[in-house]
Amino acid sequence: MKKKTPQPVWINYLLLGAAGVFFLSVMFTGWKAYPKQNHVMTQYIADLTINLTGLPIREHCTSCHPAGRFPLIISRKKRQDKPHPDITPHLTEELGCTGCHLGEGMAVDPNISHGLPGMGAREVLKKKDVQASCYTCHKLAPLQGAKLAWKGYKLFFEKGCDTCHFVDGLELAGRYGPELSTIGTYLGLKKIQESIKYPKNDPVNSIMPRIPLSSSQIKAISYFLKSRTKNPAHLTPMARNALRSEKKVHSGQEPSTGQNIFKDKKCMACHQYGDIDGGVATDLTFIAQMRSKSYLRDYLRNPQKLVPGAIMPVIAMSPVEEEKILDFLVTSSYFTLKKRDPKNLYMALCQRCHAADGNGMGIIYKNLSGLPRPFLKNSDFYRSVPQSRIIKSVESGIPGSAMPPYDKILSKAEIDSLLTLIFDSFIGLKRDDKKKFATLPPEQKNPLATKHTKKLYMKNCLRCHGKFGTGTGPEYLEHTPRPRNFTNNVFFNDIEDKRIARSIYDGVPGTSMPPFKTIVPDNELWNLVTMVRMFSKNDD
Amino acid sequence: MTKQIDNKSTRREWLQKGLIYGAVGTASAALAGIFIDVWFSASRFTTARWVNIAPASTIPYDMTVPFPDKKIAIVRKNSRLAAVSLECTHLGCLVTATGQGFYCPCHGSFFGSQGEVYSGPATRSLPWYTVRIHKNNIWIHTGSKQQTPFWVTIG
Amino acid sequence: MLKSTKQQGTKRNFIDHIHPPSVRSRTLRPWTTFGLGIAALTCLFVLFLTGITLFLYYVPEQSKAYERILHITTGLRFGNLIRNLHYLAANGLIIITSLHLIRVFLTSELRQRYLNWLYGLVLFTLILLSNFTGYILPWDQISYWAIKIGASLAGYFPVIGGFVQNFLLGGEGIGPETLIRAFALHVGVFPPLFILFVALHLWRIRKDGGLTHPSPSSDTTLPANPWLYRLEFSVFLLVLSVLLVLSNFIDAPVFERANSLHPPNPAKAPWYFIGIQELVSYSAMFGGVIIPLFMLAFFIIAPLMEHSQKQAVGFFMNKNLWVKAIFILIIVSQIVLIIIGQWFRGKNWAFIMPF
Ligand code: HEM
Ligand code: HEM
Ligand code: FES
Repeated sequence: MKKKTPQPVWINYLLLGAAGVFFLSVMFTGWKAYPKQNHVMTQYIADLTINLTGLPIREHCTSCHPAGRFPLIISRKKRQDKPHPDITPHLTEELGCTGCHLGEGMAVDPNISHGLPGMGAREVLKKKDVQASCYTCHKLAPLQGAKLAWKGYKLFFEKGCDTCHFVDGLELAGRYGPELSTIGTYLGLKKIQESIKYPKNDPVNSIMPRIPLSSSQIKAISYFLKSRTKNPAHLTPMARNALRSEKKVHSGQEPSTGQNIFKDKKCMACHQYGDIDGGVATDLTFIAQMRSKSYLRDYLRNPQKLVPGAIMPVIAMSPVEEEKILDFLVTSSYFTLKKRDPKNLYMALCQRCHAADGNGMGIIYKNLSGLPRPFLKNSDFYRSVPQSRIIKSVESGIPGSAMPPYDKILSKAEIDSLLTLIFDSFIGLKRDDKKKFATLPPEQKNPLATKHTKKLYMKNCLRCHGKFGTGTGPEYLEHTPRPRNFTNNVFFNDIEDKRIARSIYDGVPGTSMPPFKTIVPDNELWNLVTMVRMFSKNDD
Repeated sequence: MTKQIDNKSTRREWLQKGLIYGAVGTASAALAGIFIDVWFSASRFTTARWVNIAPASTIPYDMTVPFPDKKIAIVRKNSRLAAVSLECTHLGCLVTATGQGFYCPCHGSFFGSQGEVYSGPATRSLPWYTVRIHKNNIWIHTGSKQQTPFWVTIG
Repeated sequence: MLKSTKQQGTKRNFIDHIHPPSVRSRTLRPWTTFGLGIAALTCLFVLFLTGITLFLYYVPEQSKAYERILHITTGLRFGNLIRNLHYLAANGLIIITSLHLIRVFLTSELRQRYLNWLYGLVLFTLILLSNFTGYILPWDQISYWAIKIGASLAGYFPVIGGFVQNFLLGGEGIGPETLIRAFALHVGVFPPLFILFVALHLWRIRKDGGLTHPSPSSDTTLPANPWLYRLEFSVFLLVLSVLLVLSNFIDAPVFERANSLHPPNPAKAPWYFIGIQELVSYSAMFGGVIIPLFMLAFFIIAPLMEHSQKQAVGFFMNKNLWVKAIFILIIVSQIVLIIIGQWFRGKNWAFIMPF
């Protein structure tokens, strides 16, 4: 006979407990998940299929908003019974809701139906914002009720947005910035407005300049852009293809006068010319007096070649148009300032970039390839720069940057008085107050960038100046002024090895560039100079 | 090993069993109910809606104007309007309006002017819809079938 | 006692069929298995039931899938509950089977149960694949990009990476085929495989002579009916209750519609692959290929490296020190990496504090 095994009676109690817990949790779930009284879910749910140009769209919107025009038979207190405003000749029951208002028609939830947060692509458009949808179906032409959207369309060209942004089906446009043909499908109104208002918010290294626009102008443009969608209802895919292929390149016609072309190409959307000021780029009123015609032509054809890092796009134009614009500039450019005292000269010539208070943050400073050198609180820098170099920078400009040569429009005496003014009122330094530097290590005969030099570069320089010397190392956005771009061959062709060596050895005061004399061994200094030089020699 | 099963313990065992079966049984039934509710939920979606028929002024006095594509007819008596379904209640053919009422070409059902069955295989009368006039347009609600005419007056 | 012996002779139903007539009393102790196997079975049961329900309303089509998910979650009464249950059971299954795997590895004699261990690994792979293919079905921002990341992780594998990617995505990248492919695999291929391998797995337990036990056994035996049945049923009810209650509070995610132009920053893989993503962020070769391969190889061969003579009586009894060490290292490192990847990574995969 076997010993009696103890029975695990606890299992019985476990089971009893488990049954109780199960019972309670099912009941709780049923109570919690069952829609509360008067909730839409206890009723029939409106389920309409609308056919918008061959695309069936299914919607539950009228469950809560029965007022396509009238309340449904089953009317609930909470439902939105306000009738839809008259939109003849449209019929709400034929167009449905989400075609114009967006939102998620298949959801029956006060939050989700109105568009989930995120990019806001499907966020519901209310009241005036609804006009952002008009041009998804209508051809671009003045439309009653879509006045702002139409204004936005015109502003898009007036402000030169099309110079950089391509939009499908519209006239010739640049591809310098991201294409905006389907932007409305992906971004919400608010996001579009934010991107126009603060271009550098996202992504932080965006080169798009901040165009001076009023908030109502931004709104108008965003209405227009919101209507640029993936499947515009007025365009069949075939029609869209046709539009793509017959893109107008040049309208065979002889272009009109240089001045008109200058206007047509919307140069003043960014630049200043006379009284008209785009507020984004440099003043062109007397540019041809300072820069030669051939320089201007080269610049127009490829801005980045002469000023690496410039954000000006290549403007599409025929050789004839180009010639006429240049002629216009050359013949009309005159620097005419009546009172030529230093103060007025500063305000007329320097202030746009270097700012009225000399802090280097003039109205267009963010859009320049390199930030203008500040004067204010920057005495360390000026103490370290020889007098001759400062004068040279003003007289012949700084190659590879937007700083033009001023010797054509200013006399030597005027430049001198201007500099005195700057030194006195901004820098706060005697003009001959210069720092004494230790002598540099002896220059080698044929400095060579060795493996060791490269390592040195990777270790110390790369984080700011980047692997390829483009001045965009991992940390470059943390420094103002930005790290020097070594591939700027125009700039580097103009300066001596000694200056490069000095900057490495003693750093550049007033910038993030620290002195490396204790880190870089003397025998490597000149090798590093060679290395820096290599970046600008590599291209072309 | 003895067979002394005392009464008290069996009763407790039964009580326990009953509780467990009861709790699990009810809960399972409730849970099954939830699933079944979801499985049959599709029928709670309705395509019923307001449909625009025509401007009220286009309906002549004392006439019955059929709108075959919408499967309804608008009946006008003086300044009053009503909307009747044109779908035969027998097998769904489209009935035609005659002077006296409605006639179905498929199996010969006759309906009176109130939609009531006069003869034929059909047994139920033609239903009427709720009508509204809004900005001189006639609208009907497709989810509102009723036995008697729903009259509205043209204002 | 009496009742159970009587029943043994009579009709045997399906439940009787897959159970032994009697079990060791050790088997019934909670800390022997922690009920994890049954918990996994429960999750699978819930997944099948809710999965079939979702199947009724879901459309695997790029322009409709997302809307259908909204329809299910907000339009159907109890629809959200069903979806939450499916979501929770699927994710819970990963956690539960991981624990089950750990428990089995640490306390069982695996040399004689090698085949079952391999079935287990197949099941685990099936679970990951099911989760992965299920995750893509809502076709919203988060699932779209998670799949994108997950697929590119697979792409790091030489030779088979491209093949796996091609097969799972129905092409090089996410395209029109992807959703149908994921759907077909998710509801047509993996569920039958689950049934097959779970059946093999359970059958193998009996074939191997029940759970691992100390030998020579001083343990007494008890009838499986009612004790084992009642115990298993209790675990089943408890797990079901937990899933039900949680599904009232944890919502399966819905984000915006998938947007192939604007990835969320950071774009993360589903949580169970985040450990690998974190590793890949250090080194593509090591993190994406060598370490996962090593883990896989380890799991396959580890049971073969046991001392076969000793029998397990508790944690670790029959394992080499270094096998244990590697096993624990793998588990702990995965947990840590997943936590870092999930909560400590912000924009551009930069390290952030989560609070
Ligand atoms: C008969 C078996 C199954 C069917 C018919 C099924 C069906 C579905 C369907 C239609 C969806 C999309 C609905 C949604 O995303 O909410 C889905 C989602 C999902 N499934 Fe399944 N499934 C089954 C089994 C499984 C299994 C075994 C697993 C995991 C081990 C699983 C994991 C998932 C996951 C993670 C999702 C995404 C959940 C979400 O984001 O909401 N499914 N399943
Ligand atoms: C869907 C997934 C799975 C299910 C439903 C499942 C189910 C079970 C069940 C019910 C048992 C009985 C003992 C217990 O409850 O712990 C068991 C044992 C076992 N499982 Fe699993 N299992 C799954 C996955 C796995 C995985 C991923 C592994 C390992 C890779 C594994 C390896 C084993 C082994 C080796 C045993 C025998 C344990 C022993 O002898 O002590 N199983 N499984
Ligand atoms: S369908 Fe009208 S009589 Fe049969």
